[in-house]
Amino acid sequence: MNREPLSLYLIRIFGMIGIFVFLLLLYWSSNLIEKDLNGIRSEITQIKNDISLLHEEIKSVEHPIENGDDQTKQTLPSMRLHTDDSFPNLLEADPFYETTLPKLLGKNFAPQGIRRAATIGKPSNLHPFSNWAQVVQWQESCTDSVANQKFGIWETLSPALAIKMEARPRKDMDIDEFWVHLRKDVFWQPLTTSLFQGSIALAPWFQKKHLVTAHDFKFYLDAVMNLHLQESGAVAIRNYLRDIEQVEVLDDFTFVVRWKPISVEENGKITLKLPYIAKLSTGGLHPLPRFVYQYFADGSKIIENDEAEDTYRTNSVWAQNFTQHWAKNGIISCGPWIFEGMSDAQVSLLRNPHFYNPLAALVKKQEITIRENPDSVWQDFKVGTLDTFNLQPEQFIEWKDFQNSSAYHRQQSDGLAIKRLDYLARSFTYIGWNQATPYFQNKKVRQAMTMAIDRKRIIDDILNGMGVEITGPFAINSPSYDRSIQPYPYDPERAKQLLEEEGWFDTNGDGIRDKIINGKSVPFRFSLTYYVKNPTSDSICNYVATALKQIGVICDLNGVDISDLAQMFDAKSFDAISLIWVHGAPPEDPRQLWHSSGAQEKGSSNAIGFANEEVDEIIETLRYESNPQTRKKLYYRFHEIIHEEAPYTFLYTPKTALLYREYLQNVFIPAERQDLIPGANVDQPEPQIWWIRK
Amino acid sequence: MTGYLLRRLLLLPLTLFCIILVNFVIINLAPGDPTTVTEVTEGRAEKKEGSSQIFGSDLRYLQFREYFGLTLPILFNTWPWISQNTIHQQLETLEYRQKEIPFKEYDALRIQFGDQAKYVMPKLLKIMTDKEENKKMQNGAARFFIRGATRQAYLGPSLSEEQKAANRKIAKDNQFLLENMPLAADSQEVTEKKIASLQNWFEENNSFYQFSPDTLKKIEIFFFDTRFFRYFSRVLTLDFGTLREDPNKTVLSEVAKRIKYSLTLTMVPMVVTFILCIIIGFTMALYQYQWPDYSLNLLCLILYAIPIFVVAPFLIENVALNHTFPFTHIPIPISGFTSPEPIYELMTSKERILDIISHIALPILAITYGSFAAQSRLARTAVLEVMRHDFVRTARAKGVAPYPLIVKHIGRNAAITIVTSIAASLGILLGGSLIVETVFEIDGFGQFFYKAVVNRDYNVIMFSAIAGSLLTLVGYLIADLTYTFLDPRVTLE
Repeated sequence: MNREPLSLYLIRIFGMIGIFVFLLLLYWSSNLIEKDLNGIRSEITQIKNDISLLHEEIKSVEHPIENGDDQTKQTLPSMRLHTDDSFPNLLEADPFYETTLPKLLGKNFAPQGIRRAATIGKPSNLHPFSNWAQVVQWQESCTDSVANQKFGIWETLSPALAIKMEARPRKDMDIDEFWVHLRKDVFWQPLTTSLFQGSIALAPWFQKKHLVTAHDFKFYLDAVMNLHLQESGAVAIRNYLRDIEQVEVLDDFTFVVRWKPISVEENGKITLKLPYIAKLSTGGLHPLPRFVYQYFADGSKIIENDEAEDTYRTNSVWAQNFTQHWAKNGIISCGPWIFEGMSDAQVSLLRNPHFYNPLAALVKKQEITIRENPDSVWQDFKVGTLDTFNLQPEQFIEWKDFQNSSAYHRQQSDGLAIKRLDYLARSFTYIGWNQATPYFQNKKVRQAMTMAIDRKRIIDDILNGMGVEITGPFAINSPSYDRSIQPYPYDPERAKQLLEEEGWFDTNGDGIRDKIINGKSVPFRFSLTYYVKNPTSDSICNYVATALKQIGVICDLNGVDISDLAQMFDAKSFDAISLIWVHGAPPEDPRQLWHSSGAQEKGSSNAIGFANEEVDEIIETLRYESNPQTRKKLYYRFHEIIHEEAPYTFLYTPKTALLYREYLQNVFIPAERQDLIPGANVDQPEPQIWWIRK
Repeated sequence: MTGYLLRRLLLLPLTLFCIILVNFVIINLAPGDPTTVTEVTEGRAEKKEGSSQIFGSDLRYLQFREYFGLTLPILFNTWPWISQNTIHQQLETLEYRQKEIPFKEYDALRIQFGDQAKYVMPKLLKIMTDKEENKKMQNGAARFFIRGATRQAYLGPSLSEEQKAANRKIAKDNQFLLENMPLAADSQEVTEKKIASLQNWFEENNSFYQFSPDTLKKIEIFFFDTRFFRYFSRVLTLDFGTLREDPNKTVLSEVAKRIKYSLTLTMVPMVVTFILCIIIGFTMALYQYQWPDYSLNLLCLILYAIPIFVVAPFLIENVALNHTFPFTHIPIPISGFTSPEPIYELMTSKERILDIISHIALPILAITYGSFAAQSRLARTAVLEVMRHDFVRTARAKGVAPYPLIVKHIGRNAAITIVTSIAASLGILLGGSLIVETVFEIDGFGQFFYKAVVNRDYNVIMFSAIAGSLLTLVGYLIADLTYTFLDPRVTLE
């Protein structure tokens, strides 16, 4: 091999080193430039934000000068056109927001920090009538209604989008109609292309602010009542609002709601009455942004000729376009929160600095991370990237372990200690006995079933004590729940006796009770249907099967997946079923679950086929009765009948353990703070008043 | 060779067509469709008072099903040929024998009857207007008549004038039909009036909506008014449809969005596995029946035996949580492919690369260890087998130095076996690594296709089937061609 001269060799070595160093330098400088560019970019964004903030402020300064009169009218409802001082305002100011909360927050309070939460599973869309629970919650944060519930007190109304609501006598019949007088300073936030990740080109029309007007409320009702609209949320709301006869718009900020009267026969005389929920439901009406949902993304109207009064109530073409609307992946905001956007991993809401109630949002931003499984949410909380976590009973051991870990001790010393608040969920777990089967037609048998199941043991052993026994279908802290009713005792001997009274004996000595029905000996053997993927109901149903065996009843377990469960429920094709009901907000309407009209009907919520004349009567009376004392009596009587008839075995209402980091303030249950909110009866913590201490 | 290639290329679309056909039929015959996914909260099976009233509503999913063409028969449309008698019998079953047949069957019949109504309008009209029929049958027929007459509008902006006119007519007709729906509570008089106006409407619109097709039209319907034809004609224009839940997102764009995740999670482990298994395989083979061989073998066996769903949570719980990368202060991220978007946006490219590496370190570890263990043992065998060959002994006798011997003579020959085996796992690209993606919350193909199957998102499922089979077919073709280049003994004539 030829040896190359040393000099050449050296030159080559140095050359290579030189090129390498040059490349390094090049990379280094490009890296520096990139950093600079990034810095400039973030500064530009900052400047942009500042400018838009200034712009807003200038506008808000201009506004009172231009419309000086408006402002005074705003504060004094009496000076508004259409208002009449002789009618009292149905909306009462909420003392909590006016005096209590400012006191709690201290003098120098300014909203700060980001609240970080997580949700499991990405919602398929954010349609205004979606019935995905999380989406409904975000919608509620970002929009507003005619009136709000007073903080912590059910069935109350305080001013929100309306400053006054009046009940005036109707001209054509002897009942009241509701006049709603709206604020003039609430706007729909403009849309931005970033809401839709740039996939839609927006017409300039959508990029402007639009006033929230009375037409938006009428549009909401028209949309809900459009029978061609099959979006699940709309169908559910339709059931509540179908008794509204008409919404009449008087001007941009005034509208009248007329309800269909109920004719009641009292002492041989027929009188007309308003439904009890009329006032509350009127207060709960939402606006639906006309400026978005009547249009295509290019700014043209979906229905070109929409002058007719009932266009949006009857048009199927609009309904179809609305279901598949281009903006259904964004929330159009007019409330205390502004929807910022939804990516695959996160939903974010910004505080609306121009909202009329500055205390409606007490943190700067909410970030909701989208996770695929509960486990990673738990891990996130442990690391400290989430503020709160709802602990499940089966996670108690993990929680104890974490409390003793060194990682947690470190977090504690960093001011990230975790506090715990237990509260009752607004739901109950039950076993429903299908009254169409030969076994459960008699109430003594159903009572026997209840007595044979030790509900205390379920709560202590399966739920780690995180539950309370209940006796009826209302939320345990609701005023409608009669606390004097005692649960059936756990008494297998009495259960056996009851079964024998009904003719169920073990005649052939095989350990299974039987009875002659229609000349045939039928053994007491039924199947219990439940959702197999829920570990808690799995354990409960296994226990129930063992417990019933001791009184000579065979319970075959039938664990099914969600679609089969829903289908069996709708078809009433089960013997017994274990499920959970989630309570709606008071006033309770037991019609859906207990009225006999649903007893035979497929797909009704009265899946067990419960029918009782007195219960039907109570439900009918509750529709219009407005005296609180009478209502309470009716609810108590209803509760008593349900307890006596035992159509369900009421197992428990679960307790939820809310874990939260110590920097989160104002975490309390309103009902437990009568010193702050006299008369409070909401028994769950209310996240809207939480704030972050730095 | 050219002839062979031509033959294969001609066969390719035919094979693909058959695959699409079979897949389409299977998916459509599988129980449930996109509409049967219920809105009961997953995980806890609780129903909310109020919202559950919508269960069982007849019209509930109609728009949705029409939108996705699910109201049509799958392959051939024989509905215009159904006889008056059959219609009558089916309607009787629906109205009177509800209780006698199982709910599922009743439900299926009801839906099918509603779907076919459009093609049997004159027959329904006959039942409806037959004075001898009782009221229940008449009402039932009228209900399905209205169902068949209800049309879906053209959606979206920028419609032509004809489409706009059609939309106006559809809106008017739909409202007319809804108002004339005979109800059980209606009096005899009202019912008769409604039916009469429906009959009038039918006569006015018979030719416009082509309610009574002639034989030629019937044959056209037989082939073309089907789910498969609708779908296939779209696929031919490379339109794979949109996601079930969001018409603004096409299947292709969603796949493109995820391809970087899946490619990284497939390719990086493959390269890592290849390098590691060659090193370990050689070590084991060269020290056969000595302690490095035994200990590495044992290690590989243990690793091979631990399932991934144990390792992945273990890594999160014990390695990542509240720990930092060794020798640094960077906390180990437990989920995602990058940091949250607002942070990631502000990073320089170097930081981005580091960010991604720190995020995928654990997932890659979780994916790699299993295949690494298996491939190492395979590599050992491959190397040992090559070492026994004569040419190795010859080379050694010739005095080739150990290093070139291992790399050139043994390594190259052993690599063929290893590469073949690793390349065979390329197919998992589309399947993705579901478990790792789920545990580490990476939004790759695995999750995407899995969720599509659970949600019955037909468009996505079909796309995965088509893309998967196309890749496989092309892969086989390339493999066959490569053989001829690698091995001169193979000819393809």
